[in-house]
Amino acid sequence: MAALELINHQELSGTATTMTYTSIPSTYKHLYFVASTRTDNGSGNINMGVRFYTGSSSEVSSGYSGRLFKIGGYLGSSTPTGAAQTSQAQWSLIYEQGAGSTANVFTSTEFLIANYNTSNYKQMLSYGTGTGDSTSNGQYNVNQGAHLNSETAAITGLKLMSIYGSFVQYSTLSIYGLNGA
Amino acid sequence: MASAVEFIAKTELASPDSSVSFTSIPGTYQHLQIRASVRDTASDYVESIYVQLGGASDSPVDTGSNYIRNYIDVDGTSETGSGQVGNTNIWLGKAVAASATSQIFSGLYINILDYANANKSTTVQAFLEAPVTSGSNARMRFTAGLWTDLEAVQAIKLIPNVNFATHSVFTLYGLKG
Repeated sequence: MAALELINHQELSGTATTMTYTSIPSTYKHLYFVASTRTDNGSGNINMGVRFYTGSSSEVSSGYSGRLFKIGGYLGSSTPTGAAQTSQAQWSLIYEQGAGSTANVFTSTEFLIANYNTSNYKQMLSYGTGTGDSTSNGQYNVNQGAHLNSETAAITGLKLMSIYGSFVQYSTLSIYGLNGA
Repeated sequence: MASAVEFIAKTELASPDSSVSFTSIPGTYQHLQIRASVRDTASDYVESIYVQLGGASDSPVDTGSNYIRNYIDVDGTSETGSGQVGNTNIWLGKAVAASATSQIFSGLYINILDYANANKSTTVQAFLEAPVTSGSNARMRFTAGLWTDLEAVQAIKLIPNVNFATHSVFTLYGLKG
């Protein structure tokens, strides 16, 4: 048995506010996601979020919390900060490269949901990076995140959300399953 | 079901070397990942390592000022963020070097997403740690790197400050999409 298997991959042929997959099988131990995304929104904000589904098609839209360790904004010296999120409608990941950023530059994000198929609270680790090629504001972001939701049902799907604006063409999302004993 | 990750190449050094390169990387995967255990022969507790990338028009990597880096550094005393444009490489941070205990190596991983997509400049997401027990020399770096080129990545060159030490190991994987 392969240790890592591809569950789903999607690449946008046009803009979309979400990338969703709701047929995650229950046969893996952990889930690993890789996203290369850009938004058409021009203002700076934590732009990309994640919700998950349970059961046949039940979208969980509350109870997301977490903490981000991040820098962002202008290139150059800055002090990393910690940002807490509680009682959110989704897990917050990172400022994406947006309409004001260098053309053809996309944000890289990976995230891991361990033990997605147990009755444990759902937890996620995330790491996102994005860098433009000028010193303009909003083009530079490095985020690490620890995320929690007290949902105990197994995860059966995932929605990657562009909270402000839409994901642009060529944005991709890869979903992998990790096997374990 | 078939594995979504495939081994492409591995280099384990039998003697110190001034660089390690992967060339002729096929464009058939969705993403690339490097996992490495590295140490520098420089006379310090930690020392810098870098990466350069190349496409079909390079021989084999781009050595021009076409790289940008932005990062968070965490050492024994503080956390700082910084970055630079117009570089000739992406600075990945500082790895364990010759003054540290001889058996200690740094862990390094690099993600290069959609590396063959001609509509995207190449982004390098990296994490490097140096578990040195000497004061503020212990450190981690989280890197957002950019190569301002739309070519598919065909070559990756990792460069130490002096030499990568014997037993440094570099493994390249391809993830399917």
